[in-house]
Amino acid sequence: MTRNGRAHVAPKVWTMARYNLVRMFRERINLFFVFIFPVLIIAVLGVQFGEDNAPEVGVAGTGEFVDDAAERLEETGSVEVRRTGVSELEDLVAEDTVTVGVVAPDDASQMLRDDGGVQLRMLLSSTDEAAQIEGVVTRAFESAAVVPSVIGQLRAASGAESGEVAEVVGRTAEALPDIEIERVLPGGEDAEQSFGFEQIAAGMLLLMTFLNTLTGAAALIQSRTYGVSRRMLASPTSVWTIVLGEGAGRWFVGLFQAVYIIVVSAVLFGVEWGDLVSVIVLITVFALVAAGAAMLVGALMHNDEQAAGVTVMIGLGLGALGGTMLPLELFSSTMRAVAHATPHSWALEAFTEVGRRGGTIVDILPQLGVLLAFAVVFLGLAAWRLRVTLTRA
Amino acid sequence: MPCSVPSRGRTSGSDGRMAERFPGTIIVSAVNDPLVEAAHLYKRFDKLQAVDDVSLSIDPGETYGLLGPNGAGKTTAISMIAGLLEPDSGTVTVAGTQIKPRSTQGREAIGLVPQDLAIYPDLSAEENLMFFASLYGMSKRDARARADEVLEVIGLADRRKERTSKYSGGMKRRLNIGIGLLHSPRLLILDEPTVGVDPQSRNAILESVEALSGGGMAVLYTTHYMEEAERLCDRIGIIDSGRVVAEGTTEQLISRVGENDRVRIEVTGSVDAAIGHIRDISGVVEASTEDHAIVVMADDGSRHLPAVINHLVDGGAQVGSIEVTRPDLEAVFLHLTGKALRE
Repeated sequence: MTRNGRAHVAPKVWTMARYNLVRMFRERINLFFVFIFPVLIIAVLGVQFGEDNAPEVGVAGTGEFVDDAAERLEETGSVEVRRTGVSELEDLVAEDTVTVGVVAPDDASQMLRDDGGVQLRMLLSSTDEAAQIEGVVTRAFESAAVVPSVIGQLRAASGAESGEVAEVVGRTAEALPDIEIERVLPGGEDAEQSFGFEQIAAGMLLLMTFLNTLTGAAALIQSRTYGVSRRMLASPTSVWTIVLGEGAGRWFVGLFQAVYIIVVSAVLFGVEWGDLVSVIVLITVFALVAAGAAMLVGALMHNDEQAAGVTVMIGLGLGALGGTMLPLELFSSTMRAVAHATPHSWALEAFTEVGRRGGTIVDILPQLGVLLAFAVVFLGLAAWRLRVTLTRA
Repeated sequence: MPCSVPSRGRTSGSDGRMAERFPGTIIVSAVNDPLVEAAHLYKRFDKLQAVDDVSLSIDPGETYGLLGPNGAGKTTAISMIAGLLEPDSGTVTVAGTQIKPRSTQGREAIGLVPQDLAIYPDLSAEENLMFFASLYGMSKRDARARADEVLEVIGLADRRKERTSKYSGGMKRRLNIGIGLLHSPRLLILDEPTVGVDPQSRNAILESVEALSGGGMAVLYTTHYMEEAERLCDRIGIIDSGRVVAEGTTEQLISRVGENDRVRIEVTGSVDAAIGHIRDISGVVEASTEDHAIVVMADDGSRHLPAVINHLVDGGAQVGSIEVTRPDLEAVFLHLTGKALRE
């Protein structure tokens, strides 16, 4: 009735993985950490970094000058502009819906061209951002006032026709060279891109995948403490098969977790992950590393409580060190070198290459090689340690 | 009291009934070659010589008991036989295949029922059985059919879908044994399967083991309960401090300490006058004093008891409680090791 054990490694690995998952999802708290928690994290990040979250600036008034100022405000990317009437604007600012409000006279353009000053009324909400936004708003309106003011000054000084002066000043303004400002971080990376949502989403994916997979170390410890692992070893099943079977369950969880985060972040927040094949290979290998680490911790620790503390500590510690919480670019050169001792930093580099620089699988082969080496070492050590543990009297 | 001991290598007498009850078991009719041969096993842990030159052989269909107190080396010995533990030296062969911890060869022939429960509490009985069936390479169809049979045998068919965490201790024990039976092994190793079990479940387990050996399966049974060894085992190896100090059928072992009954009578007052007369009774082998009691060894204790009491009363002693003990494995163990089985 039984078949040769050595020839049926794959069905055994599949059986162990399947029952591992069954046991895992019978614990409802695990459902929360796999399905709900990552979405919450992504939602929080989405709210924090999503485009819709820019503070609103209300503008009341009409005319060329006000239109130009509003356009300049939009172009800063720092604020959303809402055009509205005066009384509504006052209400919106009072209830902090709008961070800053600006009331401009409808004939402001003409007043500037008539060589007169314009008085703007600025309404500040009680939010912390109001003072910061005030500067942005002031600069935008000052910039918009330059051309009509110069027209007014020049017309008064030269006595020329208003239309002629406006044409000269307009041409002059267009001919002026733009001033481009590039913001850079230590290490030369582009600040805008380094703090982009893609970067943070990749970090969160690695952190959550590793952490949730690592907590599966408890499953192996339970199998040991229940005596099931030892009994498995008494069957025609090798230690390697046991490690692969127990690890496969965790690998499925890690892989699912990564795919889940990729899909949810792409659909809800428009995150672009880059070349699909490269991303799939990358998360497959990274989940394998995490499963190997889970097996190693499971083989080393004596009980679930001990493992619970250690896995969270290792998961968060390696995640932080590997740049999943703060971009590696913010690290000192020494810490960046240290970070390469973690699989996270290699995976993050690969995500950056694929997602930001349009790289393909060929471009991330070195990182994949290092990650595979991590997986082999972790699984090898776990198999050795498990044999020692299970074959004690 | 020793109960009747089945003969070694039993064949067709009960096979039909047993095969009907355990359809997956193997009926072995040829008993010429031992199924299990363990030769000169040694195992040391630091300063403790846990197993010290243990050799044993078990025939197909035979139930072999390893009887000894806790810490005698029973579990270490069977761990080596099951291939879980590397012996310092010595070899184990089961069904013609040498068992080695680093190889999975020959494991199909062995079913192990460990002393501690080895089941997943968060899976049902059926799921536990299906899980282990897969590890023995059984196809899904075979596994399901065999799981059904085993669930019937262990009396858990109607609660097969329940998580085992909700089972009583006895039910868990039965499932623990059921997993060992699942792949119809030729050798079933049971390591103290009745420890911590209620009397009802214990009896059910013992009945199951009796039936299994009747079905042709060889059984290696460790226990420190003398009654279980006497009831179940065709042959018994008495193990102490890692050594098998005696081996044989129950009768053979008891014959090593003689066939005499032991009569112990608590007395008050002097027995000096009576003891000489008691020694003169025909059939009394020995009479001696022990604390506030007199101990008489006789070929038939109950028959000589009235004469012994008469001599004591005539000598002026007052008789208290009386205990007549027939020779058993406890006495054998005491005789061989100088200590009680449960010390």
